[in-house]
Amino acid sequence: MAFPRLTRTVLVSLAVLAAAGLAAAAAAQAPPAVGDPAPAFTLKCLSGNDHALADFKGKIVVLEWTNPGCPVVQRHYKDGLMQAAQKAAKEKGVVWLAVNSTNPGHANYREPAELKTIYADWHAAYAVQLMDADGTAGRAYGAKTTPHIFVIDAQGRIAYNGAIDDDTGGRNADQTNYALAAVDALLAGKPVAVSATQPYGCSVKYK
Amino acid sequence: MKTAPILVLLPALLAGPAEAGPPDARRGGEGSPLLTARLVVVEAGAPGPAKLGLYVELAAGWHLYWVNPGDSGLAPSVRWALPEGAAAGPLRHPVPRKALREGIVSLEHENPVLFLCEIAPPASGWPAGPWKASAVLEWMACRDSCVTGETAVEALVPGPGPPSARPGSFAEGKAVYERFGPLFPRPLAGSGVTAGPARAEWDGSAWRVEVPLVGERRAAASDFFVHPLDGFVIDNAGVACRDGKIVCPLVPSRGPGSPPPPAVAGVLIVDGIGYELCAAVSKQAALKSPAARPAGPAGRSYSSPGPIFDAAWR
Repeated sequence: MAFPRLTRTVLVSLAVLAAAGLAAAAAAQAPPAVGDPAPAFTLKCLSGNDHALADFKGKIVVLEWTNPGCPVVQRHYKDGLMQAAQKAAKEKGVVWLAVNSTNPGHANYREPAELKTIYADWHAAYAVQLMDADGTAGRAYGAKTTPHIFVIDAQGRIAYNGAIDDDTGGRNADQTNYALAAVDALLAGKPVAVSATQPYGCSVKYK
Repeated sequence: MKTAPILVLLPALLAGPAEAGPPDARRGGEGSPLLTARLVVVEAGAPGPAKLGLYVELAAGWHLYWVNPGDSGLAPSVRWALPEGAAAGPLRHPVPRKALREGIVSLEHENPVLFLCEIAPPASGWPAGPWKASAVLEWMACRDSCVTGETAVEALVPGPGPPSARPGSFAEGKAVYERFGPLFPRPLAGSGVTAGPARAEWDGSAWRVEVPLVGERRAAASDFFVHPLDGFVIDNAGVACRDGKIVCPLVPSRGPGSPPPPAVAGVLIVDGIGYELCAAVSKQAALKSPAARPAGPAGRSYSSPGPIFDAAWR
């Protein structure tokens, strides 16, 4: 189908504007880099209460994206690694928040009551688990995997973004827990030596 | 001496997920296993290296991951049990496919897939007779959900001798390799494309490495899959190959004070075929790097702008 020159020009212009708009929107939604302010959020915990990131102003916060249907998450809990990290962080005065961005239409989705049971059986030691079923918080941070860890410093900036540790296969006895290393550096007033790593695990099951 | 490809000699001894996702994800449907694997002898080697293959079949819709799995997933790995002194090289992957699901980039292999591994002989040479190769494949397979597991396989690799003395079916082994061999990346020299001087630019949070392509087929280059880089997080969604250049955004694990990587390697797709490309950044280029971010009162980190510089290919 042939368009008159003017119509074609208008269509091309609209397409260019649309593409530019999409690019601008994508840029506006780009996840924060290390050093950037941590995106604000208010999410409900498994008991239905609201929790905002701002509630923890002045504290170091660890965000752990989680999904109990993911075998990598299961391994970290069944081996006791995640709970040990959560307890160690808590003892240092750090707030550890688990975030679940699994969409309700996915096979891995579990209702809050069931999540309570699963994580209680695993003896999870996070402060609260937050429901992010529409994925708003997950997308704002650029959370890609379960688990995926973000450490936020006391000034509210992202200090670490990546994997929980350097042991993708779960066979390294001398593993480095990146989340705790970042926490320790922040508490010591030192730069975080490793501030970004490739997270590994299942994809976050966004809507 | 190059030996003719021969086949899979022994079936899988064990195949099944060691850990499981949802119960319905443990099997591929209709009661069939989600993943089965066989060890294939592609080249018996003697006296040189042997070439073995792991031939994997997946239930419909499931995929495994490339060596760089993308934004999520895990690449398969292998634990080998070989004659004393023999050494397994890295697992070679065929060219992956790229998938984008809900904004998450996945570099993956669909069913079926062959992985290759070269086995170097012991210093004293291969045993006089057939020798056993055993492997445990550790894998993560995903469809809607994911499952991890281990599958043990083994094969009897023939020693020196006429083909008639070797166990197994030559015809089937040859067919396996002839079918899957072309799916592995080829030398770049055959692509009609070469890489020009590279350029790395600090964009405030990542090194943006640009590799210009030259040659008559440069316009046919359509994608680039980056091999994992120690010390860097690959921004897989930002990796692109268009307008005759490759762009690789790389976030340094140790912050903005880090120099760009010494080299970038991966698979370049030209006319739908994968070619190995490795580009090195000159040491002179690496001397210029963005200023290290200052540590705030609590180790707060900051982004800082850095210079643009040209890098030369080695």
